[in-house]
Amino acid sequence: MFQTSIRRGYRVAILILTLSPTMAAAQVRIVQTNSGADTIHLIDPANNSIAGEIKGVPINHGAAASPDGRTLYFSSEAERVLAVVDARTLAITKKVALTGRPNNISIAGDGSRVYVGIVSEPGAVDVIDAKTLERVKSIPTRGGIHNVYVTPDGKHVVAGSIAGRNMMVIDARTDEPLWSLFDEGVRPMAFETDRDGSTKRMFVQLSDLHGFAIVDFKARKEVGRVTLPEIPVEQRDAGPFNASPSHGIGVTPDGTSLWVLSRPNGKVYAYSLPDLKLLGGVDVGKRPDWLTFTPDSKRVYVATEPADSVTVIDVPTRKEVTRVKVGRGPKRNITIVMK
Amino acid sequence: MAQTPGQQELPDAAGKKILVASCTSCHELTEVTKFRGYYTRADWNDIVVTMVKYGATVKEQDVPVLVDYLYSTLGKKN
Repeated sequence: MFQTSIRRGYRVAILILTLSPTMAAAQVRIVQTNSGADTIHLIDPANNSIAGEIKGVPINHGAAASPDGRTLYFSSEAERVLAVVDARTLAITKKVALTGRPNNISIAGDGSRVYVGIVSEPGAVDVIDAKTLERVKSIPTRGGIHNVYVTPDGKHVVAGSIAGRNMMVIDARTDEPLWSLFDEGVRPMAFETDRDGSTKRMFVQLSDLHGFAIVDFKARKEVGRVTLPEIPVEQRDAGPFNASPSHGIGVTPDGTSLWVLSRPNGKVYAYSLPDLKLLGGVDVGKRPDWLTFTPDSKRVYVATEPADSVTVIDVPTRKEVTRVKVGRGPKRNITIVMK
Repeated sequence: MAQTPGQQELPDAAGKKILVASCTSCHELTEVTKFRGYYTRADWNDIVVTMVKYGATVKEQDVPVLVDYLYSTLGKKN
């Protein structure tokens, strides 16, 4: 009996020793920017409490993280810089000067380059080398860039322009434009992948569209549009919505559903993938702006700017879990796994 | 008529009328006032030019009036 307990104890100890380096080291955090402040908040999704605060990035806009989650990047509209932050100490280690006023940012899959959308005319995507932390290139665009993305397979950079009314797809190896689409202001986007990891479809929000366009990425063309449900006029928020009634869209990491925000309705809507069947909507609060998922696809975090809070939704049940108070004007958010 | 968030903190002037008429159809004014103290005249000009490209209706002759107003009320002073 005693020997059995000791053996069990050894097994438990071995199990803990085997798992602990990974479990202790890997921390999931929701990184929430605050567009009206100089702070950024880190939320621990295990208990939905504030786990950290970064200071000194005024009017922060875009957020990105290195693949190991140890380095964070934020664009500052006020200072026109890319701020580099150590995720463990939450200290700013460098501010990289940009060619103009930045909006959203993205990072290469291998973490080697950070792409910054420059919204100032004539527009550009500034490229920052993540090792040297120097700006190494500025890719010209047709109009100021609001959002920039790296496709999940890392092969393309996609830049959306409101002023230029186009979406430009750039070869990530050569930095050369490959094709462009739309004659409307291009807002946030989400990506659906094929089995081989390549980009299958894009879901693109556009100026004044209460919904999203569907793009067949390989065919390089729009194949349809989905309009979000209407609610009774008396229940609708009258705005203003920055000419973007639907702003914020994302595919769950497991690829099974698409979540889309509605500012007039104050809701997030879920659609099944690949068939785009409406699953339902959830109240999130006034004027939602952006969303991000936990890596296990079980929770979605929705930033609601006027309330200075983030609404947490349980993905399988589509029920609100809680609301987390953050800084002034929360907009863009991302999920990081610190290894 | 009640003023929207951000309006009360701005002094009355010709530039304010242009600001309210041109910007509040798309934005709360707090989207503008949040930049208080950060921008030079050139930076404010960049913002106005970008917004006109976005579709904001600002007459050509009103652009410098609006830029001057934004800089004088919200601009970087040192």
